[in-house]
Amino acid sequence: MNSMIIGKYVPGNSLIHRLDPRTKLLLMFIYVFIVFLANNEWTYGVLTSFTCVLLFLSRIPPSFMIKGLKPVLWVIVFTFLLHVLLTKEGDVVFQWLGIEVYDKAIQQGAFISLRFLLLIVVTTLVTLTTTPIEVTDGMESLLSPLKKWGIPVHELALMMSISLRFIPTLMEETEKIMKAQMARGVDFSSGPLSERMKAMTALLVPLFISAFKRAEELAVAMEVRGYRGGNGRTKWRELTWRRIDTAFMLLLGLLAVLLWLLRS
Amino acid sequence: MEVALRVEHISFQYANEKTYALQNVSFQVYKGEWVTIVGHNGSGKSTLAKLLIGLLPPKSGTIHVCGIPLNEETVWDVREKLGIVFQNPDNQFVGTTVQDDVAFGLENRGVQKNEMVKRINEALKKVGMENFVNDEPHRLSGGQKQRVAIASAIALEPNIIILDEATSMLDPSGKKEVLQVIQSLRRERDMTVISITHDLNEVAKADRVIVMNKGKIALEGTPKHIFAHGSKLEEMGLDLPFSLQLSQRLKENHIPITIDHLTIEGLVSELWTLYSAMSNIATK
Amino acid sequence: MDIVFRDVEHRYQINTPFEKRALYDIHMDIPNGSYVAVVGHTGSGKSTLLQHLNGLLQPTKGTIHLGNYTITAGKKEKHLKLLRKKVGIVFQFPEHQLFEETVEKDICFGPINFGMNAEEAKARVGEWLALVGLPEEVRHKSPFALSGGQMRRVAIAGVLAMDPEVLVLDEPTAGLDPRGRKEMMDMFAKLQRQKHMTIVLVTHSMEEAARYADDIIVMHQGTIVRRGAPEHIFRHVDDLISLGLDVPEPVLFQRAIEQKFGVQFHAPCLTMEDVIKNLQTLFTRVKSI
Repeated sequence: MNSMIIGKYVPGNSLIHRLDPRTKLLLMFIYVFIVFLANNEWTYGVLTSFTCVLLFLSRIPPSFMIKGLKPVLWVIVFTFLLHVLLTKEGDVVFQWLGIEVYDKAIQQGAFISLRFLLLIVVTTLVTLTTTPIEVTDGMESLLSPLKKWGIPVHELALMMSISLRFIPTLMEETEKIMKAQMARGVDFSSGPLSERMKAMTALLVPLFISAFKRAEELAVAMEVRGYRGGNGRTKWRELTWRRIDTAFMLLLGLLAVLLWLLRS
Repeated sequence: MEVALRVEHISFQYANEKTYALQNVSFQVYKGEWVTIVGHNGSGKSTLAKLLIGLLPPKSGTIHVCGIPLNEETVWDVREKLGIVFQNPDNQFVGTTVQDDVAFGLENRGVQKNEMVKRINEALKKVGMENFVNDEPHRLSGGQKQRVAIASAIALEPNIIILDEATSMLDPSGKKEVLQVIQSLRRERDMTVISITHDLNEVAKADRVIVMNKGKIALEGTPKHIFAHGSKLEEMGLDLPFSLQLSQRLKENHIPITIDHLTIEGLVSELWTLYSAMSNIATK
Repeated sequence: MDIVFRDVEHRYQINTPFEKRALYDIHMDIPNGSYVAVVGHTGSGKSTLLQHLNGLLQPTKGTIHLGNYTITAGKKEKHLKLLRKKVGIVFQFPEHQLFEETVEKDICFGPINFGMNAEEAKARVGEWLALVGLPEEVRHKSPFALSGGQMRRVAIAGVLAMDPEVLVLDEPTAGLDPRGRKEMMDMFAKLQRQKHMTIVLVTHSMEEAARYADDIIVMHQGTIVRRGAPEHIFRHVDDLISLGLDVPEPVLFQRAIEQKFGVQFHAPCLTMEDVIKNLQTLFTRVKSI
C-alpha cells in the first residue's frame, strides 16, 4: 500500500503547484475527453509530449512517478496482452503455439495501454501537486452553480474537508484498538473465518463508538464557534484565478483543436 | 463591578434520570475575574457548562451573559460573547491546518479576509503558535492543539472564555503550557475566565472557586477560603494542596503552625520562624 | 516471570525515508514480582518500550527474554499468543476497547481467546468483578451504560481475567478525578500483593511513581537515563528538573526546608509521613538543646 502515490501531496512551489486548483481539476476533467481524440501516431505523439511537459513543469522526479505507477503497471500490461491476443486485424506478424499475432493488434494494444497510462499520469500529477484542501475548495467553487438545484455544495465540501482532517486521527485510533485487542488474544491476520469476523467486531465496534463520539463533540465545537451552514460565511481560502490559469486553459483548448486536426 | 455572567436559580434534570443534575444553582462572575468550578465526576459541573453555552435549556431559572438573557432566540448572540475550549483536543479541531482552524469561527461570523489575516496572526501569536500556521493537527502535541483551540476562541474576541476540563487529557507539560497561556491572556486582555477542572494548580490560581457537589453549590470563595474546609473537600472527591495538607497534619503532630498554607514557601518560612524562636529560647 | 532486555533498539518504518529511532541502548532487568514505574515525558519512548513487553512490537536490534520466551531482532516470532496471555497490558483509556453487549461477555473475551472454556470463564466473572471493585449487578448490563470510571474497571477486569503474571499499565489514571485516581492505584497495589504479580507502570505522575513503585526507570529521548529505587532517584532533584520532569511535592518541600534550615535529611522524603517524621526530629532536637 505504501507504494501507492495517487492521492498523496508532494509539497513544492512549481508552476503546476501554483496553478489554481480549479484549473487543475478542469485539466483533469477535459483531459479525460481529449485522450479519446487520439487515434494515430501523430495524435498520441502530441498528447504524450504535452503530458511530459506537464510532468517536467511540476518538478516531480520522473523516478518517483514511475515508482508510484508500479501497482497499476500490471493492469496496463494485461490490457495490452488482451488486445494483442483478441484483435484479429491487419497482417500476421508472427505465430507462436498456434496463436496468431496481428500488426494492428499490437498497435491497438499499444495505443490503448498508452491512453490508460497517460490518464493515470495526469490524474496522479494533479493530486501530487494539489493539497486535499485545495481540491475541496476547487470542487466547491466549480460545483457552486449546482446550488440552484438545491444541491448542498458547501456542506458536501465541508464534509469532505473534515473527513480529510480526521483520516490520520482515525488511522491512529484503529492501530490503538487493534493493539489493545491483540493484547487480549485477538489474531487479526490468521485463523478461520468465524474468528476473523469476531476479530473485526472487536475492532469495528469500538472504532464506530469513538467515531460517533468524536462527531458529536465536533458538532458541538462547530456550533459554539458560530457555524450555522453556508449562508453569510466568508472564506479564508479564496481561490484566485490568475492570467497563467487562463493561459493554461487556452493551451488546453489549443491541444484539443490540434488533436482534432491530426486525428485520422 | 460589572457582571459578566449571572446564573439565577437554575435546575436541570436529564430525561431518563430520577435525580436533578443541577438544583437551584445561582452565582455570578464579574468582568475580568477567573473563577474555577470544581467537583468530582457527576457533581453537575459538566451539565452546568452545557447550560451556559445553550446546548441544554434549564428546566427553571435564568442565565444572563453580558446582560443578555439566554434563550432560544438569543443563543447565537450569547455564543458570540463566549469562547469555549473543550476537553478533547482532537475533537474540536475543525480545520485541516492550524490557520484553517482559527479561521473557521471567523468565516462563520462573516469576517472579511483582511480582518481575518490580522486576527489569525494576533491570536496565534498570543498562544505562541505563530510558527505552526500550516501544521496539520496530527503533527501537534495535545498541549499545542489546546493552544490552537484557545487561539480559535480568542480570535472571535469573546468576553468570557470557558475552559471545560481543557487540561484534563494533557500531560504535565501540556497542562503547564495551557495555564501559562491563560495567565498571560488575563494579564494582557483582562479576560474573564471560567474554568471547570479538577486540577489543583488551576484551582489555586483562580480568584474564586465554586465547589459543586450533587448538583448544588457546596462552597464558594477564594482558594484559601475553600481549601480551609479541609477534609470536607476530600469527601467531595477533591485533593488539597500539599502544603495545606501538611500544615494540618503538622498541627495534629504538635508543631504549632498558625495558618493553613497554600504554598510551600509560606509553610517553610513559618516553620523557620518557629524553629528560630525555639532555638533562641533553648539557647537562652 | 523475569524480564530481561539486552541492547534493545526499535526503529519505526525501518528502511524508509520516514525511519525513526524510537528506542536504543535499552538494558534492563525486571525481576519477578517487582513493581517498576517507567517515567519520562511524552515522546521519551515509554509506550514503544512497553509494547515490547508482550511482542506487540519486536526489537530491530538486541534481545528480550520474557520468562521462557526469547525475542531476538530479525527473527519473526510467531508464537506470541501464550506470551500475550502472561503479559497483560492495560492501555491508556482502556474503556475505549470495550465492544461486547454485556460486561460479562467483554470480561470473558480475553480468557476465551486464550483457550479457557466459556462456562469456566463465566463462572469466574464474579471473582474478576470483585478484584476491580465492581458490584455483581453490573454483570448483565451493557458496558456502555456504565459511568466512565466503571467502564475503565470493566476493561481492567478483562485484562486481569487472563491471569497475567505481568501487568503493564499505561497511564491507568489518566482523566480520572483525584478520588478515582487514588482508588485505582490502591487497587493495583493490592493486586500486586495478593497475586504476586509483576507490575510495570508507565506514568507521568512522579507522585504515583514515588508512592507505589519499588524501582523507577527514567526514560529520555528513547533511552534509559536513570534507574533505581525512589529514594535514590529523588536524591538528585536538579537532575530530574534538567530532564524536564516533575518532582514530587514532598521532595520539593524537603529541598526548601534543607535550604532554609541549612540541614540535610539523610533520605529523600517520598511521602507526607516522611516529611512529618523528619520535621519532628528536627524540632525535638532544638527543644532538647
